[in-house]
Amino acid sequence: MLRSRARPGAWEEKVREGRADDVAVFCYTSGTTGRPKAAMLSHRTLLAVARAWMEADGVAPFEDYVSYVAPAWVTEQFLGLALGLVAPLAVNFPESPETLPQDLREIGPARVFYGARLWENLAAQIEVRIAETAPWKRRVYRAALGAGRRVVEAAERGDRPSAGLRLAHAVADALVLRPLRDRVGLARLRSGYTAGAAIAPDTMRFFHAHGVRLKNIYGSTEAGMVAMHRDGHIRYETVGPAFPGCEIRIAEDGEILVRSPMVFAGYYNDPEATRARFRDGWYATGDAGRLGDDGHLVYWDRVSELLELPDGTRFSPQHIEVRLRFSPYVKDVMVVGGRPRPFVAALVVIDGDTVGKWAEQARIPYTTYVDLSQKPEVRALIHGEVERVNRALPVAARIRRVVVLHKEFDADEAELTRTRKLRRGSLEERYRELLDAVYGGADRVGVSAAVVYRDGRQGVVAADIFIDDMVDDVTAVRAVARER
Amino acid sequence: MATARPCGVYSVRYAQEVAVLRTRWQRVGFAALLVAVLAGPPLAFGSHLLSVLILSGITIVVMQGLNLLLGYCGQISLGQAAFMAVGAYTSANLVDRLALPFPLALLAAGLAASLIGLLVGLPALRVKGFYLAVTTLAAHSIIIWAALHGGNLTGTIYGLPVPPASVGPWTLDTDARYYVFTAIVVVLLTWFAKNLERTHAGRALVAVRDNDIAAETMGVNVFAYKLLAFFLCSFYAGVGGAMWAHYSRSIHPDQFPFIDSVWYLGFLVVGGMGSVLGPVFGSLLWRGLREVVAALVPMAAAAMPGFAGTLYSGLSLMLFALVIMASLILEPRGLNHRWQLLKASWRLWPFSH
Repeated sequence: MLRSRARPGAWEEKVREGRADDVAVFCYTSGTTGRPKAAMLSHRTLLAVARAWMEADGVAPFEDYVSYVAPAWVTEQFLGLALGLVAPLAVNFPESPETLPQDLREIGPARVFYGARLWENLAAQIEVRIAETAPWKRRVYRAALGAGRRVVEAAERGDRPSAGLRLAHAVADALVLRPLRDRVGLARLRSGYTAGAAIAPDTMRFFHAHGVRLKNIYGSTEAGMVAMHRDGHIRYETVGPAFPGCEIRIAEDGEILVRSPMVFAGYYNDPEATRARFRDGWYATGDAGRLGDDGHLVYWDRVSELLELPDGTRFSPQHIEVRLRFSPYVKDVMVVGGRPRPFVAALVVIDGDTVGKWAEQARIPYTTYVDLSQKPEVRALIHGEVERVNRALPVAARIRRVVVLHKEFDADEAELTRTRKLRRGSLEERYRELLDAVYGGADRVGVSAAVVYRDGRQGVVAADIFIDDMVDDVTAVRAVARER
Repeated sequence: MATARPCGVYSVRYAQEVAVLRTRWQRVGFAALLVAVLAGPPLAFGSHLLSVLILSGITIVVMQGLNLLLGYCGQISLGQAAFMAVGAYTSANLVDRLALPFPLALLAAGLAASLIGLLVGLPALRVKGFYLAVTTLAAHSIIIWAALHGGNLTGTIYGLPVPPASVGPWTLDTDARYYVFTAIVVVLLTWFAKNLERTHAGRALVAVRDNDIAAETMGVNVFAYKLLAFFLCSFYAGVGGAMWAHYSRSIHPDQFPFIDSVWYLGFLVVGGMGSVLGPVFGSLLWRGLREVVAALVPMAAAAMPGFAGTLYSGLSLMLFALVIMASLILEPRGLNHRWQLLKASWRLWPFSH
């Protein structure tokens, strides 16, 4: 500012010197697959994304947006910064992570981007708060949500809901669903976003039944925006049709290839790595997927994460994990399998809060998290959840053995990334003994676990953790009965 | 009780932060309520119901004053009926003898009552609770004695005829007109009380109520605020008394019995002390119960002919006392608290907390 006063017009001059193809931002890749690399995004890329976004999702100027994504992540560069400046949006920030629910409620944003975990937490929170109300309120809520679900199901089938259902839904929305959206801060929401296929279709359905327009978006630092759901055309299993201006092609091996003005300019100081990502002008995302007849893109997983079972079936552990995590009782889960392992198994981390509450209501006494996790009833509860997911899977990809872990995954112990993604390599390393036992046919394995008692004392306890067979739900129940 | 605002209502200016009505629906709803209160009853109700509402309105004013003293400042007074008498006699004389316009006489009635109230409030510096109640009880006796021995000014035991009130070109000689005027006064004085509660003075009063020693150490002039509370309390009573005088058109010391002061106090507690809505609930309930008793008396008189003369006072005494006792047991924080709970559960719906 001082300089510009000394030399009038200097600032404008600098602005004029800028070129659309100049690097606007270095975005570091998340490093799930190795050392982070600096991807260069040009002004042209950011503007293209913002304009396409406005076109695709009907963004109006000065809508409220609550930013809960770090600007280091490309999503916030696209949404909070590029779209925030071009639309423009009123970008709001929560005062702190703890006050997010209250701040969200106060602002009542039109747009918000949450990671899949946050949407799942919110869904669990709604269920817990409803469970704590009087029985008559619960009945009213169930009835209203039923109407919401039937409308969502009709839309999924492509039917127009009947007049009676539309009337019932209007009443349910006015009396229950709208007030509920108000309480959780989503009353003025026009679009809720979540990225990738990390969200379970059931979670999507849950929010749509509540009248929350939750949309999947798919993109990456390098590829820019690739696909997004549009109002009225939401398929819960997909990440939506291609973003305006983006071409999608599926390679023979199932990899998703992308060509668009939103693709990055290259890695900083690493032309070798940059070249490796392009094939004949198409950017190779490294993700596996399928393009449906309706133009919707289905995302499976990273190509490198796909596993092959002995019979040749390819399956995506993440696909199964996401669906299991929809359960309010499941906090994290790692699914393992693929050659040379003969079958699929799951290590489940229970959510101490919800399972604890469930145990209290079911009058199951427990002392610590370790104790709670190994209760036969709790394991049976988790088996039920696994069974539900198994039913929707191809027979070969079904989970055969389940371990309810005695501890949570911890980012401090390098079991998760900071964005709470699993670090599979280090997890396999840490739980090697356990996994050997799972595939060795043992039915329990001894571990020593650090515990924190209620009075704050810390200690180490030796515990047996159980490995249960999931041949079908009947045998699992029988096994539990035997232990009692 | 902190009440949550609807989603998406946030402040970008300090003026919004302190506003009482924040959303468009609140403003529309409040305007509709105001119109309904001002215009509804004169159009819809007959003269009997209107008179009940006029008396309720006057009671709201008187109780609102007592609430400023008792509910906000924590000082007790059993002199409210006597302060009404001061206002009633002042206004009657000013309008009749000096031909003062009624609105001015109303103001003067309030001021006259509040000057007496200041005098009565002086002992509040030293005495508290029960002893203060007895002091104000003495004030009641003195004021009524003065009314009985006031010569031409008060008409002594024969009472005083009161000229009809007129505001500008309008003579308030019908129930409908008097109702509208009463409603306006009630709204204005309630609005004042609501805003007083949100000012420095209002918070100082609450500080004195909660702990007068702590208030004093924080620099609140306890004596001055106690006197302010007495001043405001008796001002409201004086205005209420003048409204009463010009509505009943004749006044007599018997119209300001000590027992009314007790009921003002009791039903303020039933309605909810320390809130602007409490006096409204308390007054409407009290006046409503009086109507219930009035409806019961003929039936009871048929059953017990020997007691016909004392039935009204006896029945009302029993019923009011029962209601106050029941309220103290079941909802000591008053009807207003119930109302707030209802509002809170509405705002949390469909959740419970």
